[in-house]
Amino acid sequence: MAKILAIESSCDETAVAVVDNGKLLANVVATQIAVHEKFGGVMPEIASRLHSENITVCLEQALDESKLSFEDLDAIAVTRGPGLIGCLHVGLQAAKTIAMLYDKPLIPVHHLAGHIYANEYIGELKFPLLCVVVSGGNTELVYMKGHMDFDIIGATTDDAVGECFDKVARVLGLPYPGGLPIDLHAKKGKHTYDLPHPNPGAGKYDFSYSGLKTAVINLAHNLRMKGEAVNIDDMARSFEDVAIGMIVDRAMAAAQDYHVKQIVLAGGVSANSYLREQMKLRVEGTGIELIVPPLWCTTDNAAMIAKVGEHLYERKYFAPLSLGVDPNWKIDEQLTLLKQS
Amino acid sequence: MYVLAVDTSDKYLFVCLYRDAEVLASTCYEAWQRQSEYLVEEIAKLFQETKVEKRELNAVISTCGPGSYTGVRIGLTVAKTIAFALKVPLYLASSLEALQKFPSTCICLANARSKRSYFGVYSNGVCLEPDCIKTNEEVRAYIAEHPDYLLSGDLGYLGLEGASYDPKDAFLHFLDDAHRCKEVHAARPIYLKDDYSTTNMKTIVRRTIPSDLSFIAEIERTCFNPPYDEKQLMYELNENPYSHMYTAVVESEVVGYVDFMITFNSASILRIAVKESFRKKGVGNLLLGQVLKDCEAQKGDPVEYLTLEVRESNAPARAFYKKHRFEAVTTKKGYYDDGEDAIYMVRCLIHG
Repeated sequence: MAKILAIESSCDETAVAVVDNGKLLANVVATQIAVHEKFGGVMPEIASRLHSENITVCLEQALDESKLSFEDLDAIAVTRGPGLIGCLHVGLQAAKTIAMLYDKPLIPVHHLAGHIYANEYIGELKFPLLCVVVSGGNTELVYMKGHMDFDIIGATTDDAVGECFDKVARVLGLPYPGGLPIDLHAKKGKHTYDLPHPNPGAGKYDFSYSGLKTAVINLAHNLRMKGEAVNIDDMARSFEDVAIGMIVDRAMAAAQDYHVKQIVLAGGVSANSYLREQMKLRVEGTGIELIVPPLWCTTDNAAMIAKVGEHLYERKYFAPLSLGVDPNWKIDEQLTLLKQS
Repeated sequence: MYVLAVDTSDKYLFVCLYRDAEVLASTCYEAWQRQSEYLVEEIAKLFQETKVEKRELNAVISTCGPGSYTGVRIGLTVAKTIAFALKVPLYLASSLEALQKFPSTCICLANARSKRSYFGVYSNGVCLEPDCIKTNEEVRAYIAEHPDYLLSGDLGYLGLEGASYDPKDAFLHFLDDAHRCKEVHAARPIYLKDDYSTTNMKTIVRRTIPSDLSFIAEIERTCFNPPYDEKQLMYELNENPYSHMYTAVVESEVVGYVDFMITFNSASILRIAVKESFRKKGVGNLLLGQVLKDCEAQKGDPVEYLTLEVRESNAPARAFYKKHRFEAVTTKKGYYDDGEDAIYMVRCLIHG
């Protein structure tokens, strides 16, 4: 095993982590650093998306916490995609610069592979497994026969589930991001509103969220136009039942058809308490094990990138310094990017 | 002393390794969008070719804008990561001053798009005109007034020819205290703002851009409880497909904004605010005018109603809406987090 430094900058968090032989030595996320205090206000946009301003601060803190220097590392892992192109650039440039200066191997990591492997901080992955990847940008069922072997068997045909939560929250006047507020209101509500169970489209394991979103918007608007108040708790409950129900149904169907040993949840929406609860109920008595990621791994971080980095390090999956970002990188291409040596 | 220079602020990829004032090796070509892929590799090649040990580098110098947003960020990220990792000084120069030819007096220019230029004038290292944005018309006039000044930069977009891009010599002049970056972590790109020469208050309403959001968040904090933070604003701007945001700008200062949603046949104003010192100057009228304009522009399913909620206690805002023909329809009990009621106001758009 190895000492690996990982960098994640695919969206709005600049994050750096260090692992040593599976042990997490540092896990820094930019918004958690009191940059203001440290630099007396020279960096005013502390929680901003300006990764280029945060990156060296995060690197420094990660080295401090892990009590290592760049020389001590065995490899640099970095999120290469998917994500926002301008954000991905910064992490990649920093990773390549360190790899170049210290002659360390560079390991390109898929962001969602990171979310899946975050579960290794909780338990061992047992194959074959089904991964339920649910976030602001993704709704996918990924089948894995073995490590780093990703096969997408179902996906959303339109919006991602997290996106749908955010939009519904907006219509209900709840804050962004919408996942937690809807979850909280739903706990207090009853399923009283009649919302359509959207047709999944092409495949048996596919999802569709745009119809559900439109139905909520229309219903809320019609009520408002009539001067009737929307019962936010009940609407949240009704919506969550349908939105999460779709995930649970598809996931269980796929898990049984593919005879998996394990189901793992990944991505921001896996923080949803109703999803966690329903999945637990549904796997009971089936002999399928469920792994639920720790809450800190449902948001973006570099510890999960480091986890994937360890697996790829063993396979000597190293990229040249001319590596570029890929904002639309597909997870089943994680291993096909480079010829393995 | 070994010094590495980096410039990717425009279409070029430029890297150069110096030993004192001597150029050991350099690379310069048009890389366009491929700077992200090639820059680090090109730096590695310089060290290989010259057999200089990478970690013996004594200083890094980079441009920090103005120029291509992505390009500036790529070069600066690499430069500051090197300076941080090796604990060596970082020197920063403006992308325009890097274009000057010593010892001449140079008008340094770069294409800022939308018929505008990044403009700066330098004479033997001394800045005569600080970097700013000018319209191409103003630039041409300045050039005509100063026929003895050398033009530098890629001026094809102006139909002119400038001294060709080769900053090897210029960079050597910037290794001084004035260019030294005091705090490497804080090194950040410089983005120039438009310079409006009019002395009267000229308010411009335009679509909101991400760099407005920190200023908007500041206005939020003084106007709303609870305020949106930058993250929520970024969501409104980039991800909420129904949301429209406009910013009111006076002399490059963000003074107000509006955020509204059009959903099918109705629209609702989520946020409208003007900085305290700019109130009662018609900024709100302009912002509301923009909302109405966008509503009217929707064909097919015309927008019939424009709605909003306002705090019961906010008399100036209610008066403003009343003036603009909003009618109070209902009171929403306990609408706000602190328990205050909201007045729900509607303006009908179909009959004018």
